[in-house]
Amino acid sequence: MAFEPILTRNVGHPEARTVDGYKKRGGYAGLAKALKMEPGEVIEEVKTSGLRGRGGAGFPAGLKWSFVPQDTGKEKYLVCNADESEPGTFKDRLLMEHDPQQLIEGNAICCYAVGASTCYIYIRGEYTEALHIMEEAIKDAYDAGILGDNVMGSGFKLDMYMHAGAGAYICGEETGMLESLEGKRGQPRVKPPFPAVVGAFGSPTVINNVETLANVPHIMERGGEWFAGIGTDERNTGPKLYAVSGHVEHPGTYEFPIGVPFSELLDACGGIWRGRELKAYIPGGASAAILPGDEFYDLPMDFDQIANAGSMLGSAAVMVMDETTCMVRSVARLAKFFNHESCGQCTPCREGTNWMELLLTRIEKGQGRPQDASLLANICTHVSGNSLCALGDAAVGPVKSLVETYFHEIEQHVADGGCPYPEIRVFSNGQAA
Amino acid sequence: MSDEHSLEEHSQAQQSQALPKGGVGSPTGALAGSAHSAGEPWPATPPDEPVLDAPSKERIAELLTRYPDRKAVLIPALHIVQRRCGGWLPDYAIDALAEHLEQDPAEVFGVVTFYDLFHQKPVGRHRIRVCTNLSCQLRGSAEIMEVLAEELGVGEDEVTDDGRCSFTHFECLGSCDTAPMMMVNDTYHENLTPQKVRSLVKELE
Repeated sequence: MAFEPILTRNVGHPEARTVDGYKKRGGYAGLAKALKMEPGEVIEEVKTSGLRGRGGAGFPAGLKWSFVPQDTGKEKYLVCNADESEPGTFKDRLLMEHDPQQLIEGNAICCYAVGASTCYIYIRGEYTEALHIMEEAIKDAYDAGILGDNVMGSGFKLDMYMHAGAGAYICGEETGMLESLEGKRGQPRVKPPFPAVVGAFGSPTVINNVETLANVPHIMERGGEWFAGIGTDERNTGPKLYAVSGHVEHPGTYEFPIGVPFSELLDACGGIWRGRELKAYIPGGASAAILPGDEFYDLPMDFDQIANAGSMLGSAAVMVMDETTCMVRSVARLAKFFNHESCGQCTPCREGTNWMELLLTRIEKGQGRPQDASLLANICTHVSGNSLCALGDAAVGPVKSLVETYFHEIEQHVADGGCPYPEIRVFSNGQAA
Repeated sequence: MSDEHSLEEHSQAQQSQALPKGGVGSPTGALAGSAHSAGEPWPATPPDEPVLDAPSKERIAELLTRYPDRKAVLIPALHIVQRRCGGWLPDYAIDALAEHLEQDPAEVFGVVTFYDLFHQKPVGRHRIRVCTNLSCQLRGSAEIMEVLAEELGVGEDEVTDDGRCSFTHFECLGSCDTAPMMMVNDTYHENLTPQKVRSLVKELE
């Protein structure tokens, strides 16, 4: 099966990082076309495409844009979410470092459609390389008349700025991001009102992920119908970047039509490393439930089929674990992450994530008690759905799946008084990974 | 579109794109002449110099034009001040910035304590952040931490006697396809091995 890369077509073409080079490879045709249409028609085209948000929640992008009220008399904003902090996710970094103009074009089309004249790209502070490349690209876009007072000669005015965060997972949550953009602690807001109505600086704001916006130029250029023809069904359309990491021969970003079976993705990565067997995988980043490899080997990786399997596509960060992996140690690490990243605002999340880490660390060290598994399950029910944002639920994802699917491993740790899986010494035999 | 790749070719193309040491910015010169080129240690501010010099004030003034609310400049401004102060934020520097921005110092402190990239204790001239989240853990980040402790002769979050280095574990740095990895100052070092880490650390001045 041959699949023509869409989002990653300019990877390996460094000349495309300038406006000139990008145009030579067909870029900015989508924006040119959009500027000749009515803003409402642009939104309709994106609706037709069926594009769903690529940041994790999978909300239909066109619908989100249509929520922006046009009659408030206030400024409107686009905040591009380039915070990419979900463990296992590195696709947005690739898009920004290798094809910055594609993102600028997508942002510009979105701004035109919703009537925003300012776009902030909120990038995580650790992405220094991507930040510099994006800043250079934005400067070039201003010089070429793509940005500024007269976008491509249309009279439409648009300013675009990079805004670097400072290391906080919660700032990837849309209202946490808005707080951070406004110069505050990144603590999520109470919703409603939703950002489309009251967002950045009290104004209507669209927040979309980098990959979501990178799809938009192609939808404009080739049509929503064309886009909707890619993928598994009308609810799962378009190309998708899968960021594969962990125990595979060739970790990396792979572009496929959304809904590619896990087995095919694994083949593209050269299979499990070191000739070992697959044990389990996480299909959508640290917040997603772990799926046993044998049962879900051929699972089509789209929003709905992964949800039906009890997990989620999330940001499509696929973390693969081989047969030597200790599930308790793996989930304990994720629990440590969520405990560290909980913003502390809501008690169930702040306390629950702390207890999850403490219990899992104790079990991994062989100090667990027989009742700890049920205690973990109990904590999950008290965290889930009880906080302002989705971080609490995210923390529950992997822990719940550990208790439900790998209960026997917890029992084994408790019974043995230690970890039955010796810690993997990747380099101990002198062999490089 | 003319450039059709087979799936296999495409995968290989992606693979060959695994970002090399120093990232992809260097070939285009995107970092050339930058105020903070990747990998360089940051200068420490001598105590008798003001926290905000003229170029910093100018840069902050330019940033202020980007936002409808003055407060929004705080995090970018804190980055500028931290770079000036050798990679961390002494109390007097936070106070100075609060005063300059006409913000409540308590609120500014509140923001500083919230974010992982802001430090309130001295750090080494070279700051090493090792990703230890799951994707890196699966590929040996624990051994990388051990090697660093051994090589530097200090524990996590401590500074070597000569002020040269400090290291810490970090949450996912978004380079899981090149795990295990670490960040030295602003530069990603990827596909690490103990040998690679040892020679890298020796090169840091």
